[in-house]
Amino acid sequence: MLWQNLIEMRNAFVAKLTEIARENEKIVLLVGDIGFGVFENFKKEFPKRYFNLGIAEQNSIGVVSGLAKEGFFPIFYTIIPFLLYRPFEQIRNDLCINRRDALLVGVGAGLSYGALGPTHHALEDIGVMSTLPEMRIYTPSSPVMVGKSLDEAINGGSGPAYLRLGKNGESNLSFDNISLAKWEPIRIRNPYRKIFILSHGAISKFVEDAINEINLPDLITFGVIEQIKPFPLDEFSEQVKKSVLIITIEEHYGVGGMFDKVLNVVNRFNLGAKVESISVPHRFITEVGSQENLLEDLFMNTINLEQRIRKAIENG
Amino acid sequence: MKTDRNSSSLFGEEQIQSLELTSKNLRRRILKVASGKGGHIGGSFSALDIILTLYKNILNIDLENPKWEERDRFILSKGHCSLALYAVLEEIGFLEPGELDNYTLKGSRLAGHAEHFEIPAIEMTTGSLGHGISCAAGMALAAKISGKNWKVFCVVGDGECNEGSVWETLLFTAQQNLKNLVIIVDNNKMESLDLTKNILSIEPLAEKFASFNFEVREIDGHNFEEIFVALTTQPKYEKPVIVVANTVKGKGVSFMENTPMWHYRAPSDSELINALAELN
Repeated sequence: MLWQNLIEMRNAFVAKLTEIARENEKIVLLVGDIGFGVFENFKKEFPKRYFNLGIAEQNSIGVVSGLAKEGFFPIFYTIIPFLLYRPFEQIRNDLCINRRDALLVGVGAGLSYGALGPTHHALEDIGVMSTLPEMRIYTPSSPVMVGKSLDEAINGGSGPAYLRLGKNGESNLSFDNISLAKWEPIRIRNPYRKIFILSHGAISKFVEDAINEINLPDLITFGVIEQIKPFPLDEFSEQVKKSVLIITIEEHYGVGGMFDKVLNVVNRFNLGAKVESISVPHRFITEVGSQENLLEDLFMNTINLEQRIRKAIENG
Repeated sequence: MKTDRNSSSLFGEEQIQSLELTSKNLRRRILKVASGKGGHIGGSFSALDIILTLYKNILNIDLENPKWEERDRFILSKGHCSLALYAVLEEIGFLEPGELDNYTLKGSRLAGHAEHFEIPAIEMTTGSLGHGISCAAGMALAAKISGKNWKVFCVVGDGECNEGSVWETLLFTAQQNLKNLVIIVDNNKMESLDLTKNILSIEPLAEKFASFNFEVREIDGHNFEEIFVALTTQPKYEKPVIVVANTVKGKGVSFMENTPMWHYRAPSDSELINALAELN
């Protein structure tokens, strides 16, 4: 088993960040008093480039802006709602309007913090960040793609970026090692089929397992979006040419999520395919349970996804 | 020409008289620009003497190169008082002569809240309160961890201190002991609609800052000697410095002083004539 298969997104993030920080002395890691034990080695290796800014997210984004303005590349890490919602105006003004090269890393995508309740869930973050000009959004599907996305977020563009991480022992996709040579904002398996199933984030592993169970490789294209903003328009439009049905699957609300973006593109460019969404229903998830429990309750685990995909294909 | 004016031996009666004259001229300039189109006159007049002294006598800047790497940085966190900043920048040559006449006009570089995109001398785009101070602290941290000697000066309003983010930044500044950041509170004791004490009181301000582990200096924000000394004296203790500058909103024009109406207003023709007469 490859080392990548043993680690989850957070660990992949720290491992890759450490590697990059050795080469790039402008990297500064800031945390919002989150990540017990996760950053100990980073802190030891780069004591002058690690700061715990405490529970003060508005100030933290301002500090990120100030560091970036003076030539550093700040990376601010905390739980998604605290990272993005509390200091939204600081992100808008101090990072986006002022065009700072900086990275916000959010942990706890979707229902990762399941049992901690709806204050900790992140089901609208892509929508919220999508409203902001200048902001890039990375939604890696696996630990190994976290590393690729981190590299791309730092070196592959300018302006502010948001990297969305899961938390609970995510594993890699079967084709992760095939397409690592260059950055691909959307990765495709079995191109140009009639059914196009598209996902992002850690639920992509469940989607892949469900597609494998269905086992109709001549009928189904599987696409994984690793960078959702800017939306990979050319690659998507190319793939969707022969699709009659697109199924978007995401651990996020369809409202503001990938579903909305796909609908928009299909409509705007008259691509002609029907679009179905499998996503978290648009309500606060107040039921108590782990991520696994909640996904099961919402009919979004591997077995449910398999059933729902079959049904969508039958209806479509 | 780089300036090294941060020395008390270079600051005396001559400089004070020059600042007093320039301050009056800039108030007249601002009033003429704001007449007919409006502007945040009240707060610009309370902050003007601080900003003027900074650019004329304190900031280590290169008048030929506003982006000189080793310059001291200035952040106007109360970005609505851009008229004061623009007037000073025009005075020292960081804006084109006469450019302030274009304030808020179509195609101009001079928005109602200071924008940095096309004006090299402006460090950041501000306008929403409680943002600039946090960015200024990040810049000071950048200087500290990269061993640079430049300083960051940041003007915030007393009304701005209603914002929780200001207090987050004060905690952070003290925690990191950012002695290269000098925060100046333009304490004109008014917000948009009323006195600060009648809206969301922040007094006792000096005591609050002291309890946040700052070295507090309280001055008359229209006394040039006090401004100079407060902003150039090294910290006495192992703490960052915050200056509470007691100022007058609308300073210099009797009917504008401490009057909420003049927070934002375009002077009428007769108001302009009367105001200019007072500033003669």
